[in-house]
Amino acid sequence: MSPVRVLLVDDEPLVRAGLRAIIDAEPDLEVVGEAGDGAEAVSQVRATRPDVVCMDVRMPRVDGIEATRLLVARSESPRVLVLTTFENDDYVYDALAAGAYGFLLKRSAPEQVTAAVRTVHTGESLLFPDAVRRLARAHRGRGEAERPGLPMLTEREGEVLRLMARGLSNAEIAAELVLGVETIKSHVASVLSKLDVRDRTQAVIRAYESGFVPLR
Amino acid sequence: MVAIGGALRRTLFRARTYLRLVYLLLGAALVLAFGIVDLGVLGTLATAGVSMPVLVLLAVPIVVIPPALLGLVPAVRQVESVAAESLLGVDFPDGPPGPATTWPQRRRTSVWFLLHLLTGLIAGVGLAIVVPLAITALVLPFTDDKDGIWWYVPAGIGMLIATVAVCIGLGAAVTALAPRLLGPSVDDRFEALEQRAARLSERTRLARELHDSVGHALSLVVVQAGAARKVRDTDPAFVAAALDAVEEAARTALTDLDQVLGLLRDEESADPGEHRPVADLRQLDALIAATRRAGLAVEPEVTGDLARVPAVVSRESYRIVQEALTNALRHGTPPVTIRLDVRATEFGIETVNAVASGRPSRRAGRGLRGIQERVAVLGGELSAGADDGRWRLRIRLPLPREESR
Repeated sequence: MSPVRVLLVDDEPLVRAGLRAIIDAEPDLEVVGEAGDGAEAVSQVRATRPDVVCMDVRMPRVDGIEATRLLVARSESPRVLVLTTFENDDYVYDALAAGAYGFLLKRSAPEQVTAAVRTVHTGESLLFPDAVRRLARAHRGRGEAERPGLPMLTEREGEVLRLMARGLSNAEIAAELVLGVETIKSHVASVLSKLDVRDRTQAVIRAYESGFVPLR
Repeated sequence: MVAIGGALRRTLFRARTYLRLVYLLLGAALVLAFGIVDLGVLGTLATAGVSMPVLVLLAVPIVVIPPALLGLVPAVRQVESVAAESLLGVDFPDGPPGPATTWPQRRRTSVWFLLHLLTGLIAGVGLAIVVPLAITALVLPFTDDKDGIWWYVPAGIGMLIATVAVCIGLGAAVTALAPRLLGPSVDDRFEALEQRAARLSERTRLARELHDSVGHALSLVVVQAGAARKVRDTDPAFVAAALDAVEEAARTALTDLDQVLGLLRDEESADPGEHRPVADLRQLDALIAATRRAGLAVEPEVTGDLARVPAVVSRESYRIVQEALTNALRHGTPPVTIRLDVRATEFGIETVNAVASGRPSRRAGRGLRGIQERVAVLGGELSAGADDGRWRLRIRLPLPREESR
């Protein structure tokens, strides 16, 4: 299997250098390019065709949110892993809402960095489900007026969506519901298509925003 | 009845009651002073042949205008406020107000001053005329053989009680009115609140910037250190570079932390309470001498009177010069010229030095940020840049006009 192709986007060259050393040390991961801001990131994506983009949020000129929006608007786009200094940064949720798959604190240990890149690449489970819920709760009420309702899900699909929000992978959901992994996969695919979203993170955010999954 | 008696006893045996009386009598003394002048003026007019009805008409402005004008003098507000606090026992939440700085404050003080004289007049008349009269009334029935004057005794007692009651009542009334006429008005309070809000938002901004810059540096430290640990055995060159980066980032973060905390602390010590001497431009000579000892030739040129620069600007300017000299010491080539120029409405700081060739300006840019923050807090302007091989930093700070200080 060819290694996962990673693009690093951060305005601080030393952060990029550090992440490159961490990621390149793994045989199954490979840094294929670097960019210093969001605009450069978009052209680098075109040139290097990465699987995962590690994207700083706060950058001069085009920031990480705008770049994420630009990237996910295209088909065949890579998954975006947002890098942030602080979890309590309004930008993080904005980036997730803009289509990022997950976020990673820059202070994470090297092992967490590589694990996060792999999770984002496979898209099999939600990254840091508790943190996503906290962020959604902190941003509850924004745009409450046009809060979109969820389209009709079957009871089974609803159950699967709730377990997705808890961060369970397909295999874990299958074990929980005593069903086959293939069955779960088709339920997940059906949820994503009914909600008209690209991935689990977006589905979970929709589930929180619509109130389908309570924010506790 | 018992309750009223108790309250009366408490009032009569309280020192405050008599201090208030002192305040009223001060007013009476002032009335006496003004009265002598008024009588002189009116007497002169009378001897000059001004008719009685005209004199009566003239009496009102002649009596009222001089004290009203005196009440407009800014210092009267301070004097009256201190007297109101110490004698009347008025509790001004922010301490007794100082001299009047605005016309509404002056007008309200003038009204207060007239009120002080009027109440003083009433109390003075009570004590100087009614009390002797009452005493005479009390004594007369026992010393005079005349019949039918026994009622002088209750009348005298009544006059004494009435005088005491009026004095206590006036004291209480002026005490209740003092905060409204002497204390800060709604506008004053609003302005103070706005200033406080501006200070707070400035602090918040500084805190956020600190949070961002330190967060940025620490993230860098963590990423680099984590990466170095990971490739320790395979890439020694990376480890060495990472250590350099970590050292540099941590040092920069600490410098930022120091600077911003310094700014926040300066604001705190502007409040009364903790007093620590903070260096300002008066210590400029010592700073320049120290810089020279550190090996940097400095040429100061001062135009205007540095003592005119307000304390806050002076302190911040000292720090700015200090920072500029440190930058020059790190990155520049001697000598450094410092020009300080005090003008009517602005204070100019300019430093010029030659730049060592081929040096990157990145770190100089970071040192500049501390200066920029100070300049921004003071509402000034900054321009910096190299021209013709010389690094020039130019700062203009606004100064308050002299008369408004």
